Amino acid sequence: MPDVFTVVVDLVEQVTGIPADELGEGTNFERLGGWTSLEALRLLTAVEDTLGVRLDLRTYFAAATIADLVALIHAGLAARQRPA
Amino acid sequence: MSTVAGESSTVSTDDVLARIRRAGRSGAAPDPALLVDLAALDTPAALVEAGRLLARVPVELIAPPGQQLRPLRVAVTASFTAESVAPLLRVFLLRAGVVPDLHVAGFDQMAIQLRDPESGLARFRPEVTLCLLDERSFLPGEWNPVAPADLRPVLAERLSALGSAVAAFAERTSSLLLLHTVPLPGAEHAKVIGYRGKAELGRVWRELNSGLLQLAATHSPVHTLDLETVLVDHAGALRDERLYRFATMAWSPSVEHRYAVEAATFCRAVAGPARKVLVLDLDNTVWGGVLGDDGPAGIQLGDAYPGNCYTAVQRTAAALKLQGVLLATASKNDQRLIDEVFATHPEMTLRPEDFVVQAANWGRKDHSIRRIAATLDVGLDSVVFADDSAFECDFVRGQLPEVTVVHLTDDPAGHAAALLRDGHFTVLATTSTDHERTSMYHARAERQRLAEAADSATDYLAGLGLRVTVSAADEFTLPRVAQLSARTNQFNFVPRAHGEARTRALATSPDHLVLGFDVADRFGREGVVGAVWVARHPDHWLVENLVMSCRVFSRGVEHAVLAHLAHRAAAAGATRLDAHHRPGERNAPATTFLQSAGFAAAGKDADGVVRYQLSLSPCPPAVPPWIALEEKGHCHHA
Repeated sequence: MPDVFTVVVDLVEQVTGIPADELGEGTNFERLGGWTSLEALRLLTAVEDTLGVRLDLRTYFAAATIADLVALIHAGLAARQRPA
Repeated sequence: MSTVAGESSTVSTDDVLARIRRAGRSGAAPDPALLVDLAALDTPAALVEAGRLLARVPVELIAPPGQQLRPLRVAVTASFTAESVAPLLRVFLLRAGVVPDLHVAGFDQMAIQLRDPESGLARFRPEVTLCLLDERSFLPGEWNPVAPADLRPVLAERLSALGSAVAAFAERTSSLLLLHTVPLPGAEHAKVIGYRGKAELGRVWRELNSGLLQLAATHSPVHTLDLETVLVDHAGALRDERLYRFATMAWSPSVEHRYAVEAATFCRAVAGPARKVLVLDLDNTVWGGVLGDDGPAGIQLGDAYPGNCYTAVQRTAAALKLQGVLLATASKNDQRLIDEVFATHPEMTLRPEDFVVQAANWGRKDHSIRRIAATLDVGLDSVVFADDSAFECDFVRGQLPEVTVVHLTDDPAGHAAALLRDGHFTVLATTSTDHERTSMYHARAERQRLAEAADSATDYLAGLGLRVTVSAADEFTLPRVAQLSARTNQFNFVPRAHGEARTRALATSPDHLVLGFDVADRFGREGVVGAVWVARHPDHWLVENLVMSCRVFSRGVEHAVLAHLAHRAAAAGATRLDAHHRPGERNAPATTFLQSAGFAAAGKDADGVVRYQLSLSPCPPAVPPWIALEEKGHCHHA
């Protein structure tokens, strides 16, 4: 399984068409060309399908950068692994 | 990223997306393998992305050489946000050889878009309009859980409003519409806490869905997909509550995907000919085991597993046959043993007469399939081939790319469903001609035997006792006439010129004539095998289109119909018979006919339609001497 950052960057490339090597941890979604709430929802669905996490929309929309989103996913994955 | 094995190389999702992006840039190089490689897209997100990107790709760049792509204008209008349906539809239709011109109406504006004659939707002039509904189209935001029956008049009123809107839209635009039954979300159902009340709510809701299905029976351009039933086999939730609350997405991405698959199947049925022939392997397909090794008594069939799986395959094939699909076999076997199975095995559902051709030999299956298609006079793109062997499937795929291959893999329990899964045989409606098709092909084979025995062509034709019956298209024959217009590839003046709505309008117009013709001979009836659309002008009659099934080629039927038209036109005072003809890749037989009947080309319009003219004096065309022509409801001239 590739690491979360690589997966997210691949998916951002899929959604926006911006090559993965032009994206980094500091990439701010709002500054990507043509980024609207629809692209955000497409990325959300792709992330959830690929990684099997479910994110809270309020915190998801608060994540400004790729690094923020990666941290959110890590928290989601960790919560899933904690015994109930 | 996951990959699939292609014909010669391995293609990944990322590669395919990159190639689509490249093809969308200006001055891009052709990529004729791209359509086939779309099969490599494996995640829902990648399919949606591909669909969006493909919107910018000129179709000439990706059209595979030699494959005929069919255009279709499709509109999507929804009562909620359904962002992914159009892109998914684009991918599925392109894979199926249909090039959609897609129009997506603003979400949540369905009511206005359907009613306003000047709406963007109406101006788009769609051939197919997909109407996506959710429960809010009918169910009020607040309703009384104590008395679910109170919903009945509310739902009925909203259903009736929708019904009149779609009927009016269909009339104005000649578009077909696809509605669907609406699943009631679990959260609404759970609002009622009493079992008696829940049952009442369920009943009231099913009345609504039953009403939606009824619309398809009362308005011919309206079709209703039973989405509630389709979703019975769907894994996952109807909706993601977060996306619903945030963006009014009433369907989860996987439901959008499922719907798009169904909608694509519908569009494919509208756009072009469905598959007509199912070629079945025998060993481990029609029965369990290998006949040559296990013997007629040793094969598996019947009530117990795994024999019952093969019995299910036979019942599925029999059901297809009853609806007009022709069955054939291609197996590596000894015909004598197969005959013994048919004669003696008590559990065989299929009978020898259910098959129009049986090819049992030790040669290559692609050769058998070619021979079957040639015998039936159908294109290879009409054929579906099902086999349990990966080798045979790959081989046929490689040799005959036009043939649809269904690999019956894994547990035989899934084989019967696999034959139907992709809706290869789906049509808008089956007609009585479909129901009799297998026996008609048997009669045809008898005819061929007579032809081989007869000394000359004229003896043969005279011996057939051909009767051609011409009748004005009515309620009973209209669906068949529309079907012929949509399906006839070889003998048509203008490919797919008139849809059902247009045909219906012309059939009742005083200035037009829509005739179907029925052919019978001493071996049996062929049914309605052709139709003609005519505009009656005072000095000339214009044949807007004439189509005829290739089953009745070379018997002079088209000449008899022409003579009939000429006679009626002359009796009405016309001096000329004109015809529109748009020469295409496959309708050369129509060109040949026009020329042989004495028509002369008299100019071409901007759409590539050639106008042909035939003077009715001094000698109008005559009915060939071996044909008896009758007009239903009229006494006819000699």
